[in-house]
Amino acid sequence: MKAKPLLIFSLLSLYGCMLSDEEQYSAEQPALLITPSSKSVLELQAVTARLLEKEQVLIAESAFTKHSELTIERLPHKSKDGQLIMGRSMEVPYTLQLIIKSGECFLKDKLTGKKHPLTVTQCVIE
Amino acid sequence: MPFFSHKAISMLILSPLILLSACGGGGASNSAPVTITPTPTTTLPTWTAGEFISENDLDNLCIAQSNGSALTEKLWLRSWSHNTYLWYNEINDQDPVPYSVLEYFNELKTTATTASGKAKDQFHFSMSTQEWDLLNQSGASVGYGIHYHFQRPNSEHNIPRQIIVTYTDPDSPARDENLARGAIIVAVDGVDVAAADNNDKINTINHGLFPEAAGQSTVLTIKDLAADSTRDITLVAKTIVSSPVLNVKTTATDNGKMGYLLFNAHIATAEKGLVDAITQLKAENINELVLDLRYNGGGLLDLASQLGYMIAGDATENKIFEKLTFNDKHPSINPVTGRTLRPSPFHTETIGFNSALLGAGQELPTLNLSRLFVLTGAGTCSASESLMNSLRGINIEVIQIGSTTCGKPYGFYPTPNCDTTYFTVQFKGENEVGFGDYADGFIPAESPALNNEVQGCVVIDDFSHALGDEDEALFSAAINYANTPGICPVVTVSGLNKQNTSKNRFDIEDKRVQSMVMKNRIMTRKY
Repeated sequence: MKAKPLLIFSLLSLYGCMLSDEEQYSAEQPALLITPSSKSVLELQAVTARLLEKEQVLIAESAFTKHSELTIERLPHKSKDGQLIMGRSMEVPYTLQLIIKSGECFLKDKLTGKKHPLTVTQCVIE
Repeated sequence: MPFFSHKAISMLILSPLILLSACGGGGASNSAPVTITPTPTTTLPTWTAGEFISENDLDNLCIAQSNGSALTEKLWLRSWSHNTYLWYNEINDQDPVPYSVLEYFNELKTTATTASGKAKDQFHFSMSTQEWDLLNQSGASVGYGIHYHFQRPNSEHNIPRQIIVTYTDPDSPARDENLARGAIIVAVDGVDVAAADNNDKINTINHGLFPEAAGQSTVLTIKDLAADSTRDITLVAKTIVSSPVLNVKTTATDNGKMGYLLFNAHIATAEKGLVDAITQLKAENINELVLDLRYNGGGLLDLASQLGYMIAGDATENKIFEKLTFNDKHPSINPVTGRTLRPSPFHTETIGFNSALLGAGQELPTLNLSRLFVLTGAGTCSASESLMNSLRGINIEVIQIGSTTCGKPYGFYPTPNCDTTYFTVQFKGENEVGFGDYADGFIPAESPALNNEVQGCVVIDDFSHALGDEDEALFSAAINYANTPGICPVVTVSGLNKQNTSKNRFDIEDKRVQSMVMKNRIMTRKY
């Protein structure tokens, strides 16, 4: 008699887990880059430039391998005597986040919420 | 001469058609009415001494877009400078016609000098907006992870040109080859650094030291510190991500524990590094701190404000970190943002530049110190000086060890017009007691007499020891000063370290971005 409620409970739990996984799968989640390569870096640079509407962005191969977010700043331009031109900056840096949704990787600008799919770059849930 | 909105004028000004009835000489006439269409008139802005059109009526009237001219670009610069330049009343209002646009911009600044005789405004820049808009991952750059000190040649003092490694980045090609502080770069791709005497050789050195793209290979002939002979290393450039906070450690003094931290750049990733460093030093119960800013040229002011709190703690409560002052036309409203001017406090919480590393709104750790040792050099600039100034403003005892800082209490809002971004000094930063006059830098002095002289010792940068080494001259002087207050080491300026600021015909400098733009090698990839 005790086996029946246990079975029902187990089935419900399993069902709950399945629902949870599905929801999880279709929800946006922070992600980490797997198998970074020169191609994935090129894609990340190009998509970042597109999201931020800039010409060129430099990103390292290690980006998004330890954390799902990346801070992007202006190139530290220097004067001829080697001093930083913007030594007193009040600009707010950009923050990008690598996310995964329904098995697809995206890059997202955290400020605007704009995102763009990644076709070469592979990622997993953080 | 009255001025009209140029934007309105630039569109053709057409009066309504005027219909005039032809009138006969007193008798009836059958003539048809005559329609007179006036010739379209345009009134181009011109230069009149002492009269200024609003820069808003002149912006983006460009030669390139054919909606403006060199004159409208120059007049925009003139009006913008007249409105926002900190020393607008020291500009000699000249007719722009004889000058090119950039030549004219260079005229729109003060020619006054500081008390020490250097130009009051050394911070007047322009660059293409395309170049200005280049971005990078915080701390990322293409290179070998080497930071250099360039010793310019000076035949009068028999000083050769030298390139000395100041420090190297972790996880870099330089570290892989065991290149360390104090190593002298004798040759670059076979070109002898000291003997290079023509542009081709200098270009080879520049190209080798400052690689333009990942994968570029360079052979450096180096003489390691204390080595008798040279060795060749081959470095392949890659994208390096620098660590702005390094070498956090403690050392014992007669008064207790002294902490040390090397802070090299006010970049976003430094927030986490600084919080971790201060947390570590707090856990180790330090009662003195040596902050090494000798290579820190500034950056994000918010980080300087945070670090001020992390050092001084309770002493910062309800105190001003920095107050921006603009020219006398704008005593209460920021002319660029339009916001009411309010002093910036010391930040007591995290900003969360990268919330995956460190979330926003967390209380910062603090050491609650009443004294700080700062190690400085000519590379200590802007936000780093702002930190020193803000702490001095709230009566934190700042002891300066090293050499004079760069002297940049000024800032600007980069402003684009017609594909060029201009930088003209627009504000000055002042501390709690209203002091911000350190254009000649902060000068370490055993007996300070001027407001920009700071109690401390003049000590020349010591490339013969690692940064954070207790025997390194600046750190050693700080330790000794803590043990025996007021006692400074005797300074001997060796030929190696003698400063020479005069520009040489063949100077080594990083020209990568300019050359990339000039060569139109900017990567543009559209999806």
